[in-house]
Amino acid sequence: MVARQQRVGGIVRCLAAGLALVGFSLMAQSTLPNPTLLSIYPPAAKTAATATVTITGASLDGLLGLYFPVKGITSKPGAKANEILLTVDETVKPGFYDVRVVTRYGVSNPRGFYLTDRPLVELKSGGRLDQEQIGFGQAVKADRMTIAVNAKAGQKFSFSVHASGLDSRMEPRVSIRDSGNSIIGRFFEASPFALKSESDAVYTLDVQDMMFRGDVEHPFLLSLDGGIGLSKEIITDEVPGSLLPKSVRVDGSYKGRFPADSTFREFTFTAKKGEPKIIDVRSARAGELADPSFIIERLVGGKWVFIAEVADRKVLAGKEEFDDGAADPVYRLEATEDGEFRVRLRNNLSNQAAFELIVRPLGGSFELVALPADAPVAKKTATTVTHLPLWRGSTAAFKVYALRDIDYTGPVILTVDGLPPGVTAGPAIIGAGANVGWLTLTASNEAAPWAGSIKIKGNGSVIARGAVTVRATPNTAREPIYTRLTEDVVIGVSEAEGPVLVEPETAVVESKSADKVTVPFKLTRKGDFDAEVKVTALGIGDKTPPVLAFAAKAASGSLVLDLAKLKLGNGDHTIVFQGTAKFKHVSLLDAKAKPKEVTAVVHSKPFTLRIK
Amino acid sequence: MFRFILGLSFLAFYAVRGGERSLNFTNDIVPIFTKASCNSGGCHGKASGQNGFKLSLLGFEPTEDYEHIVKEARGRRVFPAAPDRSLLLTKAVNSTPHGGGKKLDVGSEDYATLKRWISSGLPWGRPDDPTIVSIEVQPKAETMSLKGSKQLKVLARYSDGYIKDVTRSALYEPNDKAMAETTEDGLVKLFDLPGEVAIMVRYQGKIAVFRATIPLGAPVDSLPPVSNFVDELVFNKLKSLGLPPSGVADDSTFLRRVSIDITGRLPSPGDLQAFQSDANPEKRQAVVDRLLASESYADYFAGKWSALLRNKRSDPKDARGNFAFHHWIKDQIYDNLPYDKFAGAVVAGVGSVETHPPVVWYRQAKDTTTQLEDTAQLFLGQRLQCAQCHHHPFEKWSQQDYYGFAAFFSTVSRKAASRPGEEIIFSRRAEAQAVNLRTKLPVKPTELGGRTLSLTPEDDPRRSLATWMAAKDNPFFARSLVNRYWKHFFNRGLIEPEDDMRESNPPANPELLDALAKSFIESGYDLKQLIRTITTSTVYQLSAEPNAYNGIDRQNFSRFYPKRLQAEVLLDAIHTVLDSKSAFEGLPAGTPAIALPDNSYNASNYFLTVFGRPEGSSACECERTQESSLAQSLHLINAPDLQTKLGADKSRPAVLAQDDKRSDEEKITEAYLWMTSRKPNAAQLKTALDHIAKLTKDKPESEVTRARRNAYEDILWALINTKEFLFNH
Repeated sequence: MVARQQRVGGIVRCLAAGLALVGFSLMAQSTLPNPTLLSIYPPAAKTAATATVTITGASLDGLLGLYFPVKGITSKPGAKANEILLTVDETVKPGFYDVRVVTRYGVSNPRGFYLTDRPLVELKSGGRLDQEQIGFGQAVKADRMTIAVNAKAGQKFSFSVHASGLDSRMEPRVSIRDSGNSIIGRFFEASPFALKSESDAVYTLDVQDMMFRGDVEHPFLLSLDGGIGLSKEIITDEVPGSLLPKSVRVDGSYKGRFPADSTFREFTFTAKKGEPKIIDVRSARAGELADPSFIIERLVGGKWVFIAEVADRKVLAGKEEFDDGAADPVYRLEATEDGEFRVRLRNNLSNQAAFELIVRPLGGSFELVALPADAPVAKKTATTVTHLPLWRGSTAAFKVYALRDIDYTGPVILTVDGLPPGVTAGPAIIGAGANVGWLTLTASNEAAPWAGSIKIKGNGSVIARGAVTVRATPNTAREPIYTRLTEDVVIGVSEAEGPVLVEPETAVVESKSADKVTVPFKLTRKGDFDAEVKVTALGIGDKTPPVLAFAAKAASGSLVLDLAKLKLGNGDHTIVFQGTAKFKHVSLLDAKAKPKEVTAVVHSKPFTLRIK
Repeated sequence: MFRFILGLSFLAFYAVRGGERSLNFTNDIVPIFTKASCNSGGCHGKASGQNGFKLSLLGFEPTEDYEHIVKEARGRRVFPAAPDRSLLLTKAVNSTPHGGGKKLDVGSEDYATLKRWISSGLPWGRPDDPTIVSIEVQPKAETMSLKGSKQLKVLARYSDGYIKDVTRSALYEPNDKAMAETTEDGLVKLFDLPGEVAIMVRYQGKIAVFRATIPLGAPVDSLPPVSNFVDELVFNKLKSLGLPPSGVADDSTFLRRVSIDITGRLPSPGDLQAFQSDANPEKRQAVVDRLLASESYADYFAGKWSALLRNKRSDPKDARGNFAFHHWIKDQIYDNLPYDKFAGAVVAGVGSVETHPPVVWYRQAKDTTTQLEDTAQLFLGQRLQCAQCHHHPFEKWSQQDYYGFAAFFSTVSRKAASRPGEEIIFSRRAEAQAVNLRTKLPVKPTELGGRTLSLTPEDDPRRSLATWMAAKDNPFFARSLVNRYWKHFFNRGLIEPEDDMRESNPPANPELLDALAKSFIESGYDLKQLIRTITTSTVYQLSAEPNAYNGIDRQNFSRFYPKRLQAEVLLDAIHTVLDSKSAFEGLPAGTPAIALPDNSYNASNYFLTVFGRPEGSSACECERTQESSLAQSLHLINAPDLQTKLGADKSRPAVLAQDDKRSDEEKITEAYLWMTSRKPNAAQLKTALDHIAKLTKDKPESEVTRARRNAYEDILWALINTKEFLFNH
């Protein structure tokens, strides 16, 4: 497994306030005790070594260890509560990885964790850092941390600080002082600082959060020589600060950097009548902090004539789900005559982010992003941490987005590789032109507890990334929403048993578009669960989706679908239902404890509605 | 109909009559309303008019005025058949009750003119009637004696060459009411302050200026040594005014003054001793360089600019932007970013809080009006506000100028950034233009007093604005900044107010202003170099002690003008002298008040509020209150937080009291050095020693320590309440 990118889809996405609610509440009393990881410290470990880390979070009882999506790392609970012993094999490549907590109840949300083959040093105020070392620490609330750096004459440094790769809240700011206490430089996340010491000296680094925040959620890493590898999706020879060519001929694609001052860069190409071209900019989608836009012009009589201005593409995902990179513009050019065209591209964020400009013929594709299906929660102005617990004998669903190229409209058939024994995936299709589909996983009663990565694939080849809410936001009107993309889609099969399994009697239901069709369901109740169950169809019916209701103690029910009202096109549609169920749960950790009433999100197994 | 024919007859009669010009409404009638202040902003000239009768402000729109008078309400205000009974006249003489009182006398020339106009049929005027081109005041300038007087003569020149004496009809206003007053007929009367005063003369939208130089006439036999061109130009003025300057301040005074002015901090006794014992003849320049290289300089001036740039926290979610912007400002000041780049980064800012923090300015400057008015006031020293609705009453700016300047901001656009309440600021692709609200016509971006620009839709007009602002021949940009900084150091700008630079408000020393601006431009807009030039001048280092002659000087810089310490500086000074630490929520312990990132700390700190720390709601430095008040005095005398600091176990009074290795004389001297940067004189030392003796006398051993401590608390408390501590002098 390759080293995880700093953030697939970029650094932590902090999304604007919007609608609420994905996933489970942190209120363990009324919900299933799904583990939530808040912090892990130290936020780094050395390869070919063991380390002890301390975790904080919620519902961490029954701790089994940590999960890394890479071979070569083992873990087990330590002697103290919330302590874990890590052993990292020497074969593990240095880099940032997602780490999750595994308990008997399932797998938590991730946190960024750094593995290095260099010496690791914990930084506290008054401490010291040397080259070749990687320092780690936590920002101190309402304070600065001073770190000494000894330098020899001629010694070169490349100071860098990293926080977002650890899912830290910290926005680091580091000032470099010379021995006379004068500030000689500053550096921040993603902007390293180069220094050559003219003489033997002791430099002081003042490390702080920009707003002087600090606690366990504000870890950071510090390096003096660029020792922390940050892989980027777009690799370009144009480096920040270099002279950029004013006009470039594009043949296919070009990777470069925006100018620092939000001025335009120009790219020319030829287009022919009858041969549409797709002009696509990839920057925000590649995790760059960018807001590109471009103008298209055509050369007429020696002058450039305006055709169109293109800014954001259509937003597909909800703000509380993930940033789908809608800031990247895209345009379909239909040349009315053969000719020369020009794209004038700029970045409204006026920073030197990297970009890829693609000018191509038709024949686009798609990307996939999978995230745990929405769960209804009371407060609509808050988000909660999401992860997908899969209980034995029950079904859980992923919401899968197809981020289509502008010229790809075909259906996307979803399949899953890497499922553990006892876990099966339901059929799932994202219909032609649609952007969202639902993929269910069902764990049998005999499925063993498991934590691991699965591959959700589209049309057999496109592998989905995951989207996770990194931390809860209690008030989205005031604080950012923290989501990001992950390379891996991770699930956990819980030891615990779900209260109910909802499944259609038939896997495929065929009908005509204007018909009413009845779909019978069966309900398998576990234990003494006898409450009524109501589940609502996902993704169909707009504001009035169909509702499937089971009376108390009922073992079956049926659903009548009025297809004329649903207005579904011809073809196959995967229908999944979601609801909640309250039931009494006996803690896995204490069989003698009184059962507690908890609420679980319930998904049905899917059926395929085939409309002819 | 009958009225109309009658009017025409009268008109014809007067038109052919030799020797009497036919009346023109704009030229002859409107000035009467202006002179009588009928069309002032406080009366009929305000937007809603007064009691149903509206005139254009100061007569800037005569066609509208004609409509209102002659045609509105079926012409009920004027009665050509019996002019004396016209409401226009009866109200003016108050024979019909008039809220504005009596404005004209029945026998006056203005009354007669109005009557004639009414009786002649209310002529608008002929198409070929001349228009006013300019006015001239005679004399333009004169040297006058204290308490002298001078009758001005004002001539209006018309397009046909006609020249008319409008002395009686013009309006007069001195730019410094402490120095002069004027009568309605243009008689200038001076008071007893030497210097220069300008009398603005207005007539029919034209302006002229009379400048009076009022020398004191005292002998200027010797002058302090000249350090740079500032001294040359100030001393030249003082010689011409016969105003001898005070002597040069001593080392301790200078060190305290310049430390406060550059860094907002007091020097320590150690700094003082080192400075006084330094034999280097360039030591004053050296200390200026040291202070400019300090972080406190960046903190202090960052606070100044942060408030002017409206880095205000209106909501908790603004905090991130506030911190980011403040950090940026401080970093640029510390790194000495050239001022033209600094201003350009703000005005032409593109990006978000994390990529370009100056865009936070646009968070408060939400609309074009605020953007252009702030830019004009802050960076160009021009108050354009009035010109939004009408021709500027005191300056040449018209509405066309206003909207031409507004057009620079016409393509500013916003979109939501990733965090709640934050925005991305950018320039959308569009034809840059603003609509003149009066003419309803579009106006392209136009430099103030300069070119109208033809830009493409892809251009960000704000970049062109930034380029023009930084141009060497821009008449406002450099002058505005040097004047602002001059005021920072001298408590009075060369032009007052510092952001109201206009022809009718000339500088106290125009040659100096020009020289400072030229030097600033030639330095590459180097702010530190400007400060160096100012503070290493002898003028800056003059004593605040007046001599026999210059106690009354308020504008010629013949001595240093004391100024009260600003709120943050004073709070920090108290912490310094008492050796206590500030505590601001969420900031490192000991963060000085000068380093606070925004206004949000004012609400929780009464000291800052009562001593006038601004909220950052305006581009005007006047938002900061420097006036003294009873509340301030009471706070210093009684405030519990101050009492707590005084009485703390580790505070300076306690440490001094407990120090049994030094004599009380030495300790009192130390207290004075902290507070005033000087040693106490004999009388002051005796007073302090007597107080200690009084409190400790006859006290039992167990109470002496406490009594001694009380005495030292009293001494420092008393010193805190002295003007010498509270003022920079």
